[in-house]
Amino acid sequence: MWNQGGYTESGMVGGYTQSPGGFASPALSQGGEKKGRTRATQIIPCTVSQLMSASQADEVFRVGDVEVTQVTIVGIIRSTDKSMTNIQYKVDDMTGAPMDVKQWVDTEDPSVDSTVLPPGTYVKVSGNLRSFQNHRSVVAFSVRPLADMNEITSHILEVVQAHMALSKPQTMPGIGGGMGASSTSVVRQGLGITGGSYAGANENQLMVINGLSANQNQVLSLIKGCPDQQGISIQDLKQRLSGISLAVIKQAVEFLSNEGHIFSTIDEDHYKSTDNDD
Amino acid sequence: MFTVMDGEENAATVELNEPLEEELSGIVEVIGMVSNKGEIMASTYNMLREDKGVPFDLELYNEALKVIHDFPQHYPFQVAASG
Repeated sequence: MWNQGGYTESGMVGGYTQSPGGFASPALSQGGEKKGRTRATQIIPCTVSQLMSASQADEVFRVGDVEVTQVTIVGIIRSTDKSMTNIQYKVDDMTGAPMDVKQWVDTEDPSVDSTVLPPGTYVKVSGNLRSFQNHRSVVAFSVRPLADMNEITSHILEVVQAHMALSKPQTMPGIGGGMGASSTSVVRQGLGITGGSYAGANENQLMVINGLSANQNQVLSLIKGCPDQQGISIQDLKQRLSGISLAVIKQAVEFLSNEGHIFSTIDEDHYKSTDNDD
Repeated sequence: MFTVMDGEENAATVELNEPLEEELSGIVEVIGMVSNKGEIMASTYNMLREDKGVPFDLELYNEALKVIHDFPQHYPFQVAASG
């Protein structure tokens, strides 16, 4: 499936292995994703119009709720301009005016491909969004011609999926899996049903959709709600969840601990939630 | 002038400004304006190369288009004023 593209921002010379636009949806479906800390290392599929309309706060760009730094866009080259140190393309994905894409060329390094791709070529650009004097552009670390035109279709769907999944992390597991080639009609219905829920995620939806059972969710909520340094004990959980047996509580705790939602503190009977910023 | 069919076998007529200089076949991407007669007045077009061996799935592309029109908030077609 899709890998999470965890790049560190280093240099603009090629040599990166091409990774498909990773959008962290398998991890997000567990509901325990550490919000805010991992976003800077994600690579997000986008459209040119999203990049042009993204808001900018200091060095950080946002498309709606989604923080974007490293992006992929798929479009057709409309023009090229080669100079000694770089190649500038204008890439058009039909959502807006063609986007300026700059690719640095290291003339010393023979492994870097510096042949200019001709206009009319469909390419996938991976790089960083930049803004200079109010002018947006992408500094690319990879500009690769498409081998398979179905990548266009795939990118379109990835853009929608990634932005949807990253906007409301709690409510979008399983949808990533539904985007299969053979199940297009199912996908439409599935999206239609949950399309309403992500606008205002409520607890009931959470219970069914974030991958945890009702019991696990109750246990997790209680653990999250505990302000003590040493966390909440299994005994406390048993007292407060009178409807759930100790064995079930322990099973839930073990599951949540394995998934990374909680961790043990002073001993194996006390737990705190890993996600304490709510 | 030529006719194109989409992934659901719907046809549309495309009118060009200049006569065609090449033979068109396979999948063609046309960009243009829709006239009040329902024809596309093309400003530009390009053929999708299918020489790489993997056929372009037009039906799937059609479905993808429907998806993005269902979610305009995630696939904008206009550039909003940047904040």
